[in-house]
Amino acid sequence: MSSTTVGLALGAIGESFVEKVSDGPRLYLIGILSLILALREWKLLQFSIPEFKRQTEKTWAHEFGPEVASAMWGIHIGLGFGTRINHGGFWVLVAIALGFGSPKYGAILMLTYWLARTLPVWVAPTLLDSTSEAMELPGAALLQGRLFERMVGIGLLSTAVIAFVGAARVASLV
Amino acid sequence: MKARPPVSKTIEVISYLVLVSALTAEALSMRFNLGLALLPGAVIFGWSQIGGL
Repeated sequence: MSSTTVGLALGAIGESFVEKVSDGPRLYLIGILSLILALREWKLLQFSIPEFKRQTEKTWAHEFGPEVASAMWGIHIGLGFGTRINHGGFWVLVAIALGFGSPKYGAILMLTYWLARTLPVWVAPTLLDSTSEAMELPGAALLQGRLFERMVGIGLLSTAVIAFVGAARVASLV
Repeated sequence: MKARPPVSKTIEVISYLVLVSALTAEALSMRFNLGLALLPGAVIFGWSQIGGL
């Protein structure tokens, strides 16, 4: 719910300025941002991306119980901006939500992002032997950091290609 | 006996195939849906964020 709210807000913000910039330049900007962030994932460029260096509070489980804490974790993660951002893909999604200028599409985009982000946590307990092992999943996944960097790099590259193809189509329609 | 590829490698290859097939399908489609074409990226970006939970 928080992710759709963030997506709606980004889309609404984008909607307010989307008419001032035509479609082509907006798509080219998204494509260029994607390419720059892809180079970062492949270590060809080195710079920090904006993020809060914090994670969800594990202590919420003790304070509020597992069910309430789960909901709170989901809301916190759904905000997108409230926890660590390991890869640049998130900022491209923000740019797309702003650039499309559609609250509805922004909400769909951010909800998709949130679902994919939390899915491993939902699925892990069914695949692992114990709850304690499931809790270790993020740490175990971090060991595969290079894997995620490559995947995000390819995702960013494909996003750039799609944005450039979209920009070219817009230009051909004018 | 031939060793099975690690799960992480399999996941990576599947991710690439999803992206490439989505990209190809959209590129070949007469009705290019930009919004739809960008959604697989959101899945990959979200899923890769597991360390930031």
